[in-house]
Amino acid sequence: MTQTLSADTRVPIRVPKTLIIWIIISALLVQASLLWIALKTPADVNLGIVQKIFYFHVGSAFAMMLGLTAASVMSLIDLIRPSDSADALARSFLEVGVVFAFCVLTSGPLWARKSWGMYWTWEPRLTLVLLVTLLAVAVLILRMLAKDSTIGRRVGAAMAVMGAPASYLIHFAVKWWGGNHPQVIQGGGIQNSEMRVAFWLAVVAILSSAAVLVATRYRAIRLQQRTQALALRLSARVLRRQRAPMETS
Amino acid sequence: MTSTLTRIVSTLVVALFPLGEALASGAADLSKYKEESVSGGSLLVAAYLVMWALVSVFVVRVVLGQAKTEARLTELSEQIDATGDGG
Repeated sequence: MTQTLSADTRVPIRVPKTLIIWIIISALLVQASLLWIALKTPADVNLGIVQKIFYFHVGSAFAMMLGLTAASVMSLIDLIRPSDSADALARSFLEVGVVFAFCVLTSGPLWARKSWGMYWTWEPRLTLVLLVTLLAVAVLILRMLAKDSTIGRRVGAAMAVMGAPASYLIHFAVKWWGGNHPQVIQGGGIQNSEMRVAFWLAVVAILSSAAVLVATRYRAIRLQQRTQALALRLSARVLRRQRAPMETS
Repeated sequence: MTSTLTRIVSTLVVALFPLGEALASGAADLSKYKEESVSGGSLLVAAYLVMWALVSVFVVRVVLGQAKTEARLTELSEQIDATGDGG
């Protein structure tokens, strides 16, 4: 399962079995969730079939919130005690958080078009989600431009840490500042049992898929980091060999 | 590098300021918008397709990036083996 490059640079090239099993389980959960939503859940009395966007929209929102909050926590750890693994985890969580943020920002307006009669309104929760997403995208662009620069990594981590309070505000935005966004979880929950099963199945399926994406991306980033370390080691060896004849003469 | 970072951060601050103003002014009045006429089924299909597309693009990007890194890793390991022991 592990291809060894040299005694001190062991890099697992192949995907571990546990990750493959996890990918299969997540795929099955997503399929089961989609089938349940399509075949078992009734259409909403007021909104009709479009309400079925809700299940994956809210699941994506959970994945976004958890991803961005975890990215902030790992960035803080990386700022306090820098390590390649903390940096890789922070980037993985951030990237996956951004993917699900875009899922929320596209599925939400499509649902809103039917229920509110318009795609977008500058109400507190929507605006905060957009702001946090832009901040996260800014961190990703910064890291892309800064490449391996230490200052780029630290500034990126500091910006990611700033996203944590905003993510917290997203959760309480409707409660504190009102707005048009419905409160399903805090506002009495889902009454229909089939809808409730569909909701939690979708949440579990999406969170499991998000975790798989984070694990896969983490492996890829760690592999990149080790490749860079190996390239540096090779350069150092070549330089030493070039210098050796000069030193003897 | 530092000046580039400063430029990026200041551009972002300037770009995000109007959004803060919108937030402060409160939510929009929904009553002025007309009755819905778009098919709910089309919106539902569009939402799920977009979500799948977004996740798929991310997965493809990760897989391609990983394949590239693995190829580079193999190349480097061969070079290290060729230069001999004693890193």
